[in-house]
Amino acid sequence: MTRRDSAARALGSTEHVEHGEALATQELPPFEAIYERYFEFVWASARRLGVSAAAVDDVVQEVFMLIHAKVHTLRDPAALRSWIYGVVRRTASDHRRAQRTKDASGAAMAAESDLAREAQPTPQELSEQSDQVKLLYSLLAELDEPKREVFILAELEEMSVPEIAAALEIPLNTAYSRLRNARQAFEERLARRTARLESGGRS
Amino acid sequence: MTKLVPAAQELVDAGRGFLRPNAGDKARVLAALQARLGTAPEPHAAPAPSPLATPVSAGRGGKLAAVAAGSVVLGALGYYFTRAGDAPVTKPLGVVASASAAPSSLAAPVLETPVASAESSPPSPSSSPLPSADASTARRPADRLGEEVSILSRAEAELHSGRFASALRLLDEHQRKFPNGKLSQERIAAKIQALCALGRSSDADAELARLAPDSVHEGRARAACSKTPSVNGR
Repeated sequence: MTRRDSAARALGSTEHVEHGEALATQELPPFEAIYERYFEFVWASARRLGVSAAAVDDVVQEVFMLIHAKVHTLRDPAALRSWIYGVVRRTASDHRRAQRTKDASGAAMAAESDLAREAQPTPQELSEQSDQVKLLYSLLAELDEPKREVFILAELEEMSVPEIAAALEIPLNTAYSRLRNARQAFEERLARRTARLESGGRS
Repeated sequence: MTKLVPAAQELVDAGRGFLRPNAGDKARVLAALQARLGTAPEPHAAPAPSPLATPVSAGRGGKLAAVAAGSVVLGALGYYFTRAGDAPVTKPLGVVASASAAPSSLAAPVLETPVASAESSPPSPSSSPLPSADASTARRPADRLGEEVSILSRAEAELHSGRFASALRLLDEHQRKFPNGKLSQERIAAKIQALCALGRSSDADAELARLAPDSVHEGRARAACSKTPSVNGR
């Protein structure tokens, strides 16, 4: 059994039934139901994967075109959300690569690993948010990309660990340990930031 | 698995709604998808009343039906979209599907607000579903995918209708225009089916070798071949 199969099989457990009818019925919903149910997830995921506000419409369209064309190849309907995330991930990656090629300037030749910076909301977007949201994204920016991705999927998108493992095509144990490390790293950074603020307040 | 400490959890809860789309975003992207996957509806093709009817679909009935019809076509090697519409689809995706021909469950999804203003509406699709190769190469990647879907949808419709030679021509056209397209694997799978039906088993074997290792299409392509009666020369 492949790692993907293993993760997908784990998705069939009752632990994940809350994630939609598809899991309960083991049938794929029709396309427009997929759009209805997953539009927000696709959009938010694209933004968090470094797609700018200006480009997100095009990328989300591309994702749904691919879903429309390829969803019938999905072996396990229970893995739909994980599969969709994989589509978003690849499409966002293609988009970023195309942007770099198009721009072809020194600044635009950033390596794939520079996504941490690219994936951040713009200062203008953040300026309209609460201090808590600003702090959250500031802390997320400090995590390395694998940890940030798994943290976002688990905490912001509320995906189960088996779903995350399937989406990222990593072994289940790796997903668990990565999430544990991500949470730990996040909390440590938060504690440091809080301590710094408190000591600054006292001085 | 341990949970986050309360202070961290508070941050996460506060940030969960950030970078989310609004209803206008949803309507705008849906309209653009409809434009890419289908053409303008026939004036008389008013959608049947449906709990899923929306401000968008009310005036633009049948568009998502065209999407669904295209889905049926493109899913020829699968079970999913053919389940959504039992009858074989004989119209290409670029041809408007009558709303009445589609199950009511295929109406547009609920939209909470009317479509975005005119200036944010996507451009109308071309009247021709298959622009010239020159035009297609000048298009942005997103439109290329739309054309890929369109050609493959027509090919799948031909396959369903038993016009295998015609399907093969369309698949060759796809290969010519999009040798490394995003739907190359789907094209190969469809081509295998067409070749088998035409009795060209050695050509089908050659195509089979081009499928990606562990391709999800392999089993379906083989199954389609085993079920397809040879209609050599059709």
